[in-house]
Amino acid sequence: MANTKFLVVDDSLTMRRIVINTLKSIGFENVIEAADGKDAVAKLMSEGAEFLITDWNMPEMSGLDLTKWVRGNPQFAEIPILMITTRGNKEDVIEAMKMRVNNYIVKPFTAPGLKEKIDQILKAVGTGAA
Amino acid sequence: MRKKRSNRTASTRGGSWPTRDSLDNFIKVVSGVIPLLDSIRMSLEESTGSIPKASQQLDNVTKATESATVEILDLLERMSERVRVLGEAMTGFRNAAAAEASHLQAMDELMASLEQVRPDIHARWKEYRAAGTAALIPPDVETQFGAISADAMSIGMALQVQDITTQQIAGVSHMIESVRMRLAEDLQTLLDGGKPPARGPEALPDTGHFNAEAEYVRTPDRQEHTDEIIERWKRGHNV
Repeated sequence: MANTKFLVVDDSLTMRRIVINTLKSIGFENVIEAADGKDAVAKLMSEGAEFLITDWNMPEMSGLDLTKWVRGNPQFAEIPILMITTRGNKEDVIEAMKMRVNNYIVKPFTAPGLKEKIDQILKAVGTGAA
Repeated sequence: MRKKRSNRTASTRGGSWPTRDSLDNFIKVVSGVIPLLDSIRMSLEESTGSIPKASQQLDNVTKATESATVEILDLLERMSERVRVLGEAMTGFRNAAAAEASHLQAMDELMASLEQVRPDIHARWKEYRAAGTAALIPPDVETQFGAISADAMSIGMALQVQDITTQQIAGVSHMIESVRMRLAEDLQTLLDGGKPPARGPEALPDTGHFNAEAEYVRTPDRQEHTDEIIERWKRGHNV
């Protein structure tokens, strides 16, 4: 699991750096990044990934649209998706869950919180649950 | 003799023409409004000219804070790496000192045998042993290094504020641009002398690139609330 390849998607360079640094601090070194949904699709097609961490509000292609694309693409449909976003309304959370994100974090996040969510997802994926 | 012009109103005469007095008043009002309209027009022109500059300045603020934030993150990474190296060196030093202890004990015995034969060497050895350089290392130095690394991590996490404020600023820019567009439409309407178009409260569609309601809230209840929503949703959908 420590070698799981993460794709971090956020239009904010600051946020990408923070998420990547946090992933490394909790033992996940294999990380690539993308600046928006469209870039993420290109990276998935060219480099692949095993776990997607994405923001919601992004230019070109939002995190929600990216999730929809991933879930609709047989090659990547089962990749775990964790959304990290400033949108904390109930309607937003439910909309994301309907798109089949595996879990959802509201910014600003904490390192222990991120680790907990990733562990939960990896455990659930390992047991076949969502 | 010229007949005096009647001052009766048009309605009393049975017609629809205003009186001279009312016409004079109307002309006075219009004469006063025209400069006012001209002043409003000039204000609108100035405003529509200034607003793009304000939006650009906000954009510059965002870029500058992102640049500074990334620089801080770079420094934090370097700092954490240096602390890690120091911590490893300290651990290495302690381990080496522990390994050295058995050799030192053997030397103690040897030096004790020299006490009568070479008291000067024996005395020097005792001084050296009393110094105990390994003991000078504070016992909790590794803990301190760990605390420094943790603090560096906390600083990095707090810099999420930059992303959140960027979205708030984007919301303000969006609002400013909406106002500018409406002012520009009103100005054109004024210049054309036409009726203002009917419209709703928003002139500019939301691009979805930002969340104007983003908040920097560090308390855990927000995430806890989100987790509850997710749990309820999963239960409801047998996930």
